[in-house]
Amino acid sequence: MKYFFKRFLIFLIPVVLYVVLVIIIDPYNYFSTTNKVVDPALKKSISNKISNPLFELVAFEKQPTPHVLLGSSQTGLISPDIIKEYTGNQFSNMSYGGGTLPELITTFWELTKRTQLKEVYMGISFIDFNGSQYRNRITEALKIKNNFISYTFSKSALESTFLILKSLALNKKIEIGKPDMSEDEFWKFQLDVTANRFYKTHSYPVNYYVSLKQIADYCDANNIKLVFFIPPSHVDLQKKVEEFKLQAEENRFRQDLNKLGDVYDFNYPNDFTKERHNFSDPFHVVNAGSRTVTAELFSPAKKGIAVFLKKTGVAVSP
Amino acid sequence: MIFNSIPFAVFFSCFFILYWVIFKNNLKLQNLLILAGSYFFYGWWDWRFLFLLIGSSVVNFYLGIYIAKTTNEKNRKLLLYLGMLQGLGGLLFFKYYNFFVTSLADAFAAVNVHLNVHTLQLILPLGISFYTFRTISYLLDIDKNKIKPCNDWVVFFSYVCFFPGLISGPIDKAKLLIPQLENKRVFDNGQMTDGLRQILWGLFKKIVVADNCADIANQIFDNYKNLPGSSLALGALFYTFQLYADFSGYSDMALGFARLLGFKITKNFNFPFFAQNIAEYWRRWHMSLTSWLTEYVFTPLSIKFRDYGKTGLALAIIINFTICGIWHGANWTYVLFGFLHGLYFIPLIISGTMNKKTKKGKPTLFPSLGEFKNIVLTFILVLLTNIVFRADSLTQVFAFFKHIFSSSLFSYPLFTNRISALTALIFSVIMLSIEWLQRDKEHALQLDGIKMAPVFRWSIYYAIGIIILWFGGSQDTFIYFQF
Repeated sequence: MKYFFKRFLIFLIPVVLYVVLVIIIDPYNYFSTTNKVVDPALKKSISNKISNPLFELVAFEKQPTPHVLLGSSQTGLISPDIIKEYTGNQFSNMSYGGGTLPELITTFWELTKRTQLKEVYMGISFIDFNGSQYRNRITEALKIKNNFISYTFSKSALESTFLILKSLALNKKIEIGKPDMSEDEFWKFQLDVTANRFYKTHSYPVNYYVSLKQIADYCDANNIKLVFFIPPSHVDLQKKVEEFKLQAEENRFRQDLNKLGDVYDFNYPNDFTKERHNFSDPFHVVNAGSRTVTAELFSPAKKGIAVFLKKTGVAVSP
Repeated sequence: MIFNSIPFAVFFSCFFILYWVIFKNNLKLQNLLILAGSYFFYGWWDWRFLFLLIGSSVVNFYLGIYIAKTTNEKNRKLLLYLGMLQGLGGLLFFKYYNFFVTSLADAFAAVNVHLNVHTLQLILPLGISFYTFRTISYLLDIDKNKIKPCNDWVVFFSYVCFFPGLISGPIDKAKLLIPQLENKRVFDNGQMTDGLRQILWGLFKKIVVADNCADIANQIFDNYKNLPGSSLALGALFYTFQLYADFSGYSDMALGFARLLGFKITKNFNFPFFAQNIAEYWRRWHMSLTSWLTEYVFTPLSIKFRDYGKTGLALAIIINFTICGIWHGANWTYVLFGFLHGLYFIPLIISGTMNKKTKKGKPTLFPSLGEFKNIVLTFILVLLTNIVFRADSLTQVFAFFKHIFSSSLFSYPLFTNRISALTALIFSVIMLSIEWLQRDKEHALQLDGIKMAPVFRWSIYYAIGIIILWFGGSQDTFIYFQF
């Protein structure tokens, strides 16, 4: 028996070393936000890409704010620092790359457990408003950050630790998720592959809409300002709706959002969305474009690039 | 508390130390620990159903003793039926009550008679199908004088609730497990190491293969209306891999944990996807259930129908497999699943090859062309019935088949996440390849007899561990928990 236990303990030595390594590097700042063993910028550049939800959720838990943004990568481009310039309020941007509606919904309820929310801005595009999109990484991220062991032995911690070590050892920046194609090729890819994939499987998200209604009711009951916005996409992408004959569904989407709260609609053909220089790809605005969107949402001096729909329940389309 | 969870890791570590270090020299205390640990394990899920489990143990313990004591055949049968009524009654109530009343109402509604039936909000007690089958086989075996009743309540109660197999089997027969509980267990280094290897392989199958396949299969089955036939066919393939890796992964872990406690429990899978016909498949798939049904359902039925020749045999098989289907749950899909498997046997019955065993020679690296053809055909039959098994309703079954067998079957398959699908497929192929190479062993990671430097051996374990962490999926339950 002693022989078995002895060998088993020896077998566990590398496992213990790995645990120590994760504690030292702490890729998601789970143990401490002041751990400076590894450059926080390096950690963020890697871990935030490996598991965007986990990184954001841990950060929010350490420093919760009552003002939040929720959405996908289109909303993720809005900088809390710029919002602070306009409003003086510190926002947390809890948007995720490739974020889905169920992720947004789960995140909202998770945040309500962490703080008393005051303002919630939800960026939802028609492409996200899809009943067939049910990926939800938040439940897994919540399980991971639930305790020390699940965090340490999570795939995210393992992968991030490995990449951080690789970056340190090679003294080289690690690129994650960067498309291996030219800007033009990527533009075409996003239109022909990514957009098609979403629109081909479009179905009306009945259950998600019910969940959004519950959120809207909760915000009403708890005096939380809830604002929806439809992030801008390039007109090339907007035309895809027509190609897939989904105009009626898109109008219904706008009307349904408008029943839940005030809506800023950036996504219609105008000078801003026609200009390719405002976009890095058909889905995402460039930094300057993001500043314009932020100003439209938060600054008193609006440029009128969004159609504002006051919550009335009356269907209006731009 | 599931095997691949942190609470179980903590529970089992404490249990293991108490069992082998503190209570090593006291069999009674070791058994008491098994009993207490099993109840703790079960109560972790829902302590209220512990009363049902304990109640069932008490009733069957005394019935077993009284059946053996009773010499009057009529009274003996009465006691036996009482025990079966208790076991099957609980099972029927919790598992099938709503199904029966709604099916009855539907049947009447078809002839325009509308019944006002009441369904109940029942929670199915975890593992009820498994421990009920254990107790029924115990009483039947006593009645047939195959075993003697157990007079030690700690041993009997531990047999009913032995935690490695409590939730999802295997369904151990009393003649296998009770003698092991009655005798001192020996700490065997080889058995311990191999038990750990079997657990590691089970974890790989569950976390890497099953959970990754589950993500894809769930996406496809939930959205089958929007997807082409090619995607649905792949969905059925992924579900088949998921079902196998999930259940056999659990069984591997159960066997591994039992071995760590010095027990050898019933093997539940013997690489079923390498079966060359459906009869062989069932001799390799969920073996403890197949063996249970063969002994207590099929054999008595086939004796009853023996005057009808092959027709009688076919009838016995079809009834047996329909019961097998219903055992899985209260849904017409399970009935159809079992019925179809029963039908699959008919060609074998007609050709007289049902009991023909595949020749066991030295395993070759590649199957012969004939073997390969048989394996593939059997796999396709299984895959088609797994669609029925996975579907929520018969309507979904027919709609799913209609979508599959359309012109879109030959279109390019559509997935939300191709990389995940590819990852799941690659790991499924890796799992099957390793199992193919190790198919003459007790489990795929059994390395006994293979000459290998310890460093290399340990590297394999670490590599599997890293793969589990890196590629592991995120399901937090096992499919067979629902049964």
